[in-house]
Amino acid sequence: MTVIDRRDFLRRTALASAAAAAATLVPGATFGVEWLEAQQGPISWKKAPCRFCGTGCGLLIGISEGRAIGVQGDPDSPVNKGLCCVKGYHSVQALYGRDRIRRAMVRRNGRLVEVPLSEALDVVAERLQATIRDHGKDAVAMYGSGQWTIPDGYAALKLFKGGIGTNNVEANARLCMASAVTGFMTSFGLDEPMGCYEDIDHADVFVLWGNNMAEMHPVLFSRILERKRLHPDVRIIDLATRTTRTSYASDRSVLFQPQTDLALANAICHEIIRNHWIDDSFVREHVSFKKGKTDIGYGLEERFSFADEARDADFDEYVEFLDDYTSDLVAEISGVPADEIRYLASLYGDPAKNVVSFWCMGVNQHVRGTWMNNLIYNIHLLVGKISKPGNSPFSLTGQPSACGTVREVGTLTHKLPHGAVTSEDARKMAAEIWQVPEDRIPDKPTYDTVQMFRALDRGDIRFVWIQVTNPMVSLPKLARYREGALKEDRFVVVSDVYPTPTTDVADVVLPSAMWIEREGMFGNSERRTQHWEKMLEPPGEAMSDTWQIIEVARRAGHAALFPWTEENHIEEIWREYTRFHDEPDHRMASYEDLRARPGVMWPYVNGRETRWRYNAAHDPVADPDLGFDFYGHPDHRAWIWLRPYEEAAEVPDDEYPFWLCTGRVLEHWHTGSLTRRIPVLHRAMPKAYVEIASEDARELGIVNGEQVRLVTRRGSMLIEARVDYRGQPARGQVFVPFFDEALLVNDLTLDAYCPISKQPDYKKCAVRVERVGRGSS
Amino acid sequence: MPVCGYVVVPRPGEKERLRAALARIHECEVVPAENAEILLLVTSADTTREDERLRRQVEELPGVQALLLTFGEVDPDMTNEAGVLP
Repeated sequence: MTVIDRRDFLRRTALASAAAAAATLVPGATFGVEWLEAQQGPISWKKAPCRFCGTGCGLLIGISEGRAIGVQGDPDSPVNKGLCCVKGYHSVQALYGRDRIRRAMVRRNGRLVEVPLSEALDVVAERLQATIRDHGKDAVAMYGSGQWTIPDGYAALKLFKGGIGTNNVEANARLCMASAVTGFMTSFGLDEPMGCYEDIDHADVFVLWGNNMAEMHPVLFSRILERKRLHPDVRIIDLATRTTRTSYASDRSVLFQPQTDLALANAICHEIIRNHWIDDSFVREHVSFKKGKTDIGYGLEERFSFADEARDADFDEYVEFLDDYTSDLVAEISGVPADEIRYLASLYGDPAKNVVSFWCMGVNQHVRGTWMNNLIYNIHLLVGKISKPGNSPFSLTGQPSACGTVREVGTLTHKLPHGAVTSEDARKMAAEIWQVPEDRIPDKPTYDTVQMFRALDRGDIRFVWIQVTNPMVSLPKLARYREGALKEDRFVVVSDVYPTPTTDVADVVLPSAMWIEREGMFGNSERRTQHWEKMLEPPGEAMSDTWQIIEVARRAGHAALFPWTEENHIEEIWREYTRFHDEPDHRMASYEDLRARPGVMWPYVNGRETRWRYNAAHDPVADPDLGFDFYGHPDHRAWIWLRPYEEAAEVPDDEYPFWLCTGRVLEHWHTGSLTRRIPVLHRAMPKAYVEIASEDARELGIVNGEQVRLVTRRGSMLIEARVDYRGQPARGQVFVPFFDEALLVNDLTLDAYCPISKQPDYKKCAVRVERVGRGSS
Repeated sequence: MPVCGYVVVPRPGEKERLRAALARIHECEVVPAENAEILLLVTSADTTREDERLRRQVEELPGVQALLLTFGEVDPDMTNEAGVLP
């Protein structure tokens, strides 16, 4: 390897970065490859999906002399068409943080000490086996991530469910999109969107439900803005609880009171029916009406359990149910003027307009998240604006493989790669493919994520292996779970690339190979699977999470499950995994196709991607005689649900008079463990803050930059106030981003969740704001 | 040790003159697009103050219509040191 000095490396990176940006500004611009290569050494550009959000932008990574030196958007990718956001452009710098974990560590006498990786893997395997021997197989657990590659998740699932025989597998995607899954399953009987990003190119109206796309999905938002630039009649509507960059770029910003989106969605449906904007034939031929349980709780009780029940309803009952949601009544609850509600309904109801609804965490991190998903589908189903180009209710994801790994592989307690553990057929299929006894896979789910960490706190779980996620920053009501993890006789293994508050509680830390340092696949929000090859050697003894699992499995007596070599295991895992999806409704691309193309959408049938599911004109599985065929349900219909407005788990009162909402910012991705090590991004957003409405700040005597104390029933924190900043909350609300491990806002949040999806609500709890003063602490 | 990358948009008809002007500045490295009115620029300075001065100098060149920062590095106490260098 040629030795280059630090300045030369930076200079090359700067040049590659400028070239990538210029290619976006002036598509087709070239800069003389020979000159560039003479300056920089030969650069090879290799495709990979971005490692950050769920959009799944295709990137070209510039590799020179064994280093990643630049990024450009892949012009061949149908996702981003050569665009990139600030995180994507700088993503390769996250590989090179100086505190990168290169060696394994084991806690001895209270301190983490470096050991050879093989020794650490021995320790993990021994402790795994000892815990099972002493406390039973349900005392061990795996907690992964929507950043797990597909092979990572598959190996974890196979080891724990097929090898050990416990359903104790969860992933942080429970915290970000479980409500989307239960929404899809209850409304359509099958998970994941019916449409695709191409809907953007055909839509006339975009309704963004609690979704700050300008910061969280900036490339998709750029595509929306481009659509509007080319078609000035296009309308963008921002429905939110706070004013953001998305609001400013929209044609109309509609602010509603937290939790009242439930009422708002029902009011839109009420107006659609009242004004006869309903698509009668579509509803008659393709929709059934259902009602479930109400007053369903918030999951706050220890060992909480809930099962919904779908009971038949009919259109008349639905109309009567909606009588409680007239625009005037909902205006009082939501704070949205009745005329605005009627306007929103008219947009959905106009037969000449194609409408796409987008949502993400605002809808999903909600104590009635499943219901909110159902209610948005209700709107689209009433007007027949679904499964057609430009007409799409579209749930976005926040992580690069929340869909590909967690939802499709099934790395959740109740799931298998095909079907649920409660299904005998699904267990049989898994047992056959994995060549394990059928009774190895238990028929009952164990713990969702919140319950899993409650079980760790109680001692029902004694061993947990955490990969590619940082729960000691991201769990709600964090203090309880941090203390639980630190208890005597708990054993925590963490695989990661940087030190985090989660590695701080670890007994063993395993150094992970990151992203392009190993081969892998991700699956994005639009059902697109993307493959990348190994481009770099990982530092030190870092090893891919997949191979870590295989190494531990071999040490723990499960070698037969993983009869592959380091060279072929990703390909072999893909071949085995896709046997679970060998039906036309979910058929996936071959390994060879994935290698050759910038991603392939499933269902992939006879060499063709399915862009719009359930529509016989596009979906080979749909019955042509039906036209639209919602084949996920036995009645081949989509289900409109009667879901009422119910209050949040905790609402402001005299003692805690503000709503606390948490979320993300453009520069940082999730808990910031990667993006805070990218200097440009860290400098742009170095620490967390609390946004306060200017009227509230004035009343409390708080000025911009001043320290305030936030207090909830769970805890308190000191943090800088921001008034009239990037986002502006409505009166009575505050917002804090969660990326900053030095300011753990989740010590304040509540672990209430949607009883159906078990996804926590990070957007709503009650908080008090106390003035402290500039520079005080 | 600030190193910055820029895309430089010249005023109409000024690309060649601007390229030459930039090439005369010792700390600048300039790459013209072969087929577009655009330049790539990398600046290297020893100190933050020097970097500021250099940026102002470039901005004040008469042929510059726009200067777009695409890359800016690096605080000596931050990342990208031990990880990448042999």
